[in-house]
Amino acid sequence: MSEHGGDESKKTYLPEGMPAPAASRDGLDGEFYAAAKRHELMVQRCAKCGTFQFPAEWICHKCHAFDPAWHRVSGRGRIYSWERVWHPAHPALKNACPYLVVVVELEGAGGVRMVGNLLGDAMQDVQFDAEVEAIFEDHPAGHTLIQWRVAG
Amino acid sequence: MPRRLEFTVTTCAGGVEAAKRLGQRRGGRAIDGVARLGPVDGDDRDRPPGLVVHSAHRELLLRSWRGLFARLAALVTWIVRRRRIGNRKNQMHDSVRSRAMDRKSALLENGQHVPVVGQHVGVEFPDALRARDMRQMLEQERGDAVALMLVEDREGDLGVAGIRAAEVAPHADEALRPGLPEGRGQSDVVVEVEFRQAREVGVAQIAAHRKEPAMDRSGTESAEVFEQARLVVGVDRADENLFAAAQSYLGSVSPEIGGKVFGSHRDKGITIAPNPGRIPSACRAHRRGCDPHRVRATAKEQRTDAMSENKIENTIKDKVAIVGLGETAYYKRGQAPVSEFRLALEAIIRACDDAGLRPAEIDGIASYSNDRNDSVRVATALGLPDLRFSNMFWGGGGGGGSGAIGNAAAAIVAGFATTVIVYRALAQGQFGRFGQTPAVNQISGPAAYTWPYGMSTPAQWIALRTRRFMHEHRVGQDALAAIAMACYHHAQFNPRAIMCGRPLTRAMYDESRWIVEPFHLYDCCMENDGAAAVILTSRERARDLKQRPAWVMAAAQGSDYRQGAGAENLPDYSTSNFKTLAPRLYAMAGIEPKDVDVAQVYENFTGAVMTSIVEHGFCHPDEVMEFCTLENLTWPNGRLPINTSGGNLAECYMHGLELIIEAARQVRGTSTCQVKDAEIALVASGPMVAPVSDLILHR
Repeated sequence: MSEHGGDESKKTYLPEGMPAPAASRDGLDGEFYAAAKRHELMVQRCAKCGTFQFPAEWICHKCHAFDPAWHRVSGRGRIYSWERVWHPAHPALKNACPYLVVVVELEGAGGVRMVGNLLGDAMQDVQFDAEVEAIFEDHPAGHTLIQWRVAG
Repeated sequence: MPRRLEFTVTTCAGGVEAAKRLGQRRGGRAIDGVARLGPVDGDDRDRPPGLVVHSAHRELLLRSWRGLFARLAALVTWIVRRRRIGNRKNQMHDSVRSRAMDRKSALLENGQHVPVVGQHVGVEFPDALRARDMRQMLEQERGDAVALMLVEDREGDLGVAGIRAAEVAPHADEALRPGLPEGRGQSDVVVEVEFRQAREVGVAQIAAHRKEPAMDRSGTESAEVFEQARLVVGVDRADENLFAAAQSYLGSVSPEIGGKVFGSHRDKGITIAPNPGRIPSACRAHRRGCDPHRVRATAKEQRTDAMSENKIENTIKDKVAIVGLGETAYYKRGQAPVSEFRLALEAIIRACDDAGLRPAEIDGIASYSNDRNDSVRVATALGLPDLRFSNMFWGGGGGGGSGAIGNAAAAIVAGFATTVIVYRALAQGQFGRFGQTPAVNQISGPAAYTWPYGMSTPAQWIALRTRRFMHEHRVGQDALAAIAMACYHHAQFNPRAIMCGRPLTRAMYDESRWIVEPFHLYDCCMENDGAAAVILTSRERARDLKQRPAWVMAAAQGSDYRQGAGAENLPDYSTSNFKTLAPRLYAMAGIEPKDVDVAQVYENFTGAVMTSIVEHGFCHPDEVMEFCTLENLTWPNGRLPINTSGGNLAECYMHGLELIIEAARQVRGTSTCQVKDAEIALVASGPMVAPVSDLILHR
């Protein structure tokens, strides 16, 4: 079994053709994507009050200081929720189902969560709170996705 | 919220009667009470003036406002004593003597002054006022010195709730001490006493008083200076030190006797100066021999400013009704034979016909979910003479249906419009499907954290949150299946339902394909073309129309803390977003969850219905498996029949407006699955979106 949706020839979990993530034109989240390209995981952490937040926003939701700082996190987390998708909602996914989506609560990030795919067999038994680690998935088109794998 | 009780202060029994009668003329509703200053007992000659309170809320007064009236009386007493009125001699009015408290003697000496204040406080109005008073006294034939200003109406009979003179202490502060603990115990009362500028000095009696024996009318004193006092009772400050508050209030008042202006910040104030020699103008005029019986009622209706409204009643509750329902046929997606806008017009016209209204009577339009069928286009197409309200509930997809009703109701209550149409027209086949990810190459913003991973549609994020809830509360597939089967069950009785004639069994449910676990095909709402509309109007109009009104008992809209956070970062995760709305909704309605007879709960997906049932208080989250059963959720005998026309799953997907129509039908008694004696129907719109909204209709 390959890590990528059961097909060893695939270097990415989902087929090409899915919308690629891009940094906002207004510069709000450029740091996140730049870090992902470096295979680092970053979220916002307010320099004033230390509150974590994700996705990025111009203001800290707690103390309302503007322009929260970016903070590197470990890249580990736990499965907070998951699902197995059977119905393709995008033409590119016509032959990619079923696949797994996970919501991961990041370690050491004040409860911040991220959404990604769970690498490995799409029919695997998924456990709540299982420890997972981030795997950076570089795409030919130039963007990098953050996927998750159950920690060994 | 502060609760205001409004009273007026008068100095004669006649004023009390005037209050009662004026209240009666207003359809039987009287003010909360009248405080009459006077001796409490006939034999109370040497006692300070007491306070006789006639109250519509007698028990309330006796229990909880006693201290407040003691305070008022103490204040007045203190002013009276400060002027040493009781001891003035000579230059005062004949009836005022050291034993002027003796109302009997006052009566004898001033037989013609029956309605006149037996004792006068030697105060003098500012020059301008006095001059005006004089003019008024010359112009008007009045006997009494006090005008009764009726400030607000309340229902109830005025009965006497006497406050003993013993409760009125010689020293103002002393009076407060016994009173305040009681006040404190009663939901934290704050009293403001406002003394208004004397606008006129006149009689507040009306002809009916002629019948009263003269003895009953006399026996009052003081407070001629106070034409009107208004007690505003606030009930919202827990644990405030009322004693300290009262002391500071009185402390602020006391230095002002003796020449300074005193009064509320809103009033010009009254200058009070010692005036032992002045004969009060009222009596002067009276001595000119005007007939005390030829008096006019001069009580005017006090302008009620916003602050004086009883805030508890200042909601939309029971002031607006749904009076007309309109629906087109419901088509499968892409199969509507006409354009979406035409569907909207059809639904609106049908709603008008149902109500017995002409479309031209519509003067307000409300919708939700960025409905494409623009309000101004609708108004233009229908030739509406005058559009006074045009409103789109902001955001939330299907979360806005009840919100649009709430907005329409608010507009009517606010006086913006009288007759508001709420509609939704949807032809997904013509414009694109909700359940598909747009085929774009790139995406930025919050969606960039989910779409590239194949997580984009409502089914997909609601499934994630449903899964978490099921994990937290040990809920299995049975609960979801029960919800789906209940909706399909009700659709079998509804000929308009798309799934009528196509019942759902458990085996069919289990064998149906997965969309996204834990949702099977049958856990998901349909996709339809069609339009629906409802008309709302005010209480006054609703009763004259064709159908039984479905009264809007309560509405709520909103969103919990950071429920809009992207990438599944909403802090409270496995929720439908009703946790803060439902309490507000029930509070406005004044009911509890157990009072709801039938519920329409928006099913984008069964999982969201499940969490909505929990969050509206119908069952505990750990009891979902026991509560969400086919037996409990189906008509006719279920504990809580839901989606009784088939709902989004089985009747049609009209973005929830069809649920509001079904709730109105339940209240009218015309549902195809009519819950017996259904009085209260709830609609939850959303769920698991932001914002969401709620509605309660009742008979």
